Amino acid sequence: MTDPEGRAKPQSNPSDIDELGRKLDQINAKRKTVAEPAQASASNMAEGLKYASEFSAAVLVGAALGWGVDKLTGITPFGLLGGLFLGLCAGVLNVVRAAKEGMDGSGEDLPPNELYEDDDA
Amino acid sequence: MNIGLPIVAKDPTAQFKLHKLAELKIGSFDLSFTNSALMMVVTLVCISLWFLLSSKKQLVPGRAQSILELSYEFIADMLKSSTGKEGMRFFPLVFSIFVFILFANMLGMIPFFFTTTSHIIVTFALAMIVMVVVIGFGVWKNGFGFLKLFWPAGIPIAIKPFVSLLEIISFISRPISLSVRLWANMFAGHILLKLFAGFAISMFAAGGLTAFGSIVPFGLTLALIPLEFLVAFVQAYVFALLTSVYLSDALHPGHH
Repeated sequence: MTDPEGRAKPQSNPSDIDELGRKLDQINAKRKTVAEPAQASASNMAEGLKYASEFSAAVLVGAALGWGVDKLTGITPFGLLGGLFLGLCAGVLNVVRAAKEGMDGSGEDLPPNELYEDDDA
Repeated sequence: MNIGLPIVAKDPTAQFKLHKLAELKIGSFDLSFTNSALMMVVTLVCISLWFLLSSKKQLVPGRAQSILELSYEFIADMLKSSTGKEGMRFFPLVFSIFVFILFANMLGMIPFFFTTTSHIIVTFALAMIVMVVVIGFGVWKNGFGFLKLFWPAGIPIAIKPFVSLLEIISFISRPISLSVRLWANMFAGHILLKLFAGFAISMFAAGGLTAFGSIVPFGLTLALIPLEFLVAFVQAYVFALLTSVYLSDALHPGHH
């Protein structure tokens, strides 16, 4: 740590640290006010529709893919069954991701790639 | 008891009916100019007017210019925070989508105006534009590396193929959930408004004590209108936000 003249400063001044702390608090407060309105503004219905659409879209896609597999291979009920199951799982994955990422811009504190890292599930 | 109000006032879905304003057929395709197309043109005209009003490039901005500058910074900040600096090359796309949806939603809030975004085919087309850009750019930039999107790191190899399948389904479901979310919000909101307004009218028309009770649905209608304006904005924002989240997948498929 050096001062403007280039001399080394072995011990940091406690008031400097206070200063730094205050500045950091200011920056944090600023960031918080930026992130807040998007989170507060989503209405409850919009919130519900968000998760509903995430979940149902995946189930629909899974079922459609399974149905396609049925048509192509002729293993008739099992493709659709497997597809539905996979779609269900993908739907849960979507919902978990939606909740973690915070699609309304509120998920700044959780990096999205943590979905696979934590194993408390 | 009907006091001569048009039946349209009570049918909550009548507002979504398409009707042709000008016939146009190319081969077997029906390309008629509908009220939905008219509203899209109105949307574009409004946006163009807004841009024209802000084109004086004053140092001290006027009203239109200062709103435009605010919107620019709003979208640019969002895009940068979710895709990083190189994502700014997609700014024209994201900004166009945001502004179009915002104006379409807001114009739909004007009485007797048609809401373009309350038709799922319109929102699905918008979502497909995003997905085509994401896949096209992702493959062009990363080649086969784009497939890393479906092969997540950090999970045991035993369940990796299964998770990869889930990722593929999840990816395919994106345009659907993206379009369904916007469409369902606009559709449900407008139906709700129409229903409560219709209740208020029929209850008032019934007379007596019921007419006095019509204050309840009337109040609810009043409360819903600002909420719908909020939803109109939030949904445009969410669509643009998710667009930039998906674009960041195209830019960095390794870690999503």
